[in-house]
Amino acid sequence: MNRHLDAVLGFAERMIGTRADAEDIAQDTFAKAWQQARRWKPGQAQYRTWLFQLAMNLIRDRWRKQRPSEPLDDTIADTQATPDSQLQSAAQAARVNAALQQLPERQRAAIILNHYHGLGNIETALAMDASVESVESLLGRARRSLRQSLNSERV
Amino acid sequence: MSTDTELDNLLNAYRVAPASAALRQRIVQNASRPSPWAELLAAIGGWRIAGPALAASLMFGVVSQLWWTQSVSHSVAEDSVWTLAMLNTTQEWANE
Repeated sequence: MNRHLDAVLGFAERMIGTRADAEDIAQDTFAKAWQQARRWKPGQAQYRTWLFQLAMNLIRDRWRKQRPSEPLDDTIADTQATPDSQLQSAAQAARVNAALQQLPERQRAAIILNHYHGLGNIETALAMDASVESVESLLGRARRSLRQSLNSERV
Repeated sequence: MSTDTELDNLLNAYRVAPASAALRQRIVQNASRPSPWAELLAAIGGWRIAGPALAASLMFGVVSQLWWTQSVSHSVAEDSVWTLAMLNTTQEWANE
C-alpha cells in the first residue's frame, strides 16, 4: 500500500485539482482494491495500473454526482528553494494545474498517467479502458492544448 | 514554448505532496474494519447461530404458507359444494 499510495494520491489530485477530494479518492481506491482483490489478474495489468483504473472509475463516479469546487491549495515546492523561488514555483504549479483542469477528462488522464507516472501507451490504455491508438491521439491533443494554454498565459 | 522538453519541464513544476501519516492511518483502519454485514453477523452470534436460525425461519415460513393455503382452499371447496347442492345449513335456510 505504501508503495502505491503516493502514486494514486498524485493521480487523483492532478485529475481533480483539490487535495481533500483526492485523499477521499485514494482512500476509496484502496478500500475497493481490498474488496476486489480477487478480480486483479497479474497477467493482464500491473497492480499499479489496476489501482489507477479503480481510481479513474471512482473519479468518474464522483464527477457524475458533483463537480469539484475548491481550487488547489496544497502543492509542494522545492525543499531547498528560497522563499521567492518557492512562490514562483508555487505559481507555476498553479498555472499547470489550471491548464490541466481545462483539458477534457480523457486527455487529462492520459497526460497525467503518461507524464507524471511514467506509464507507457499500453499501460495507459489499460488504465483508461481505451485502445492504444486513442491514447496516442489523446496524448497528442493534450500536449497541443497544454502548450497553447500555457503559452497564452505567459503573454 | 516550442519543444516537448520545455513543456515537460513546465509540467514537472506541478508536484503533489506525499500522503500524510493521517491518511495512511485512515486507509489502514478502513482496511482492517469489517464490512457492515460482517459486523451485523458477528453481533447476532456468527454463522453458527445465524445459519440454523435462518434455515429454521425459512422452513417455518414455507410450512406455514403450505398449511394456510391448504386449509383455506379446502374450506372454500367444501362451502361451494354445499351451496351448489342447495343443502346449505345456515340459519337463513334452516328457518324455511
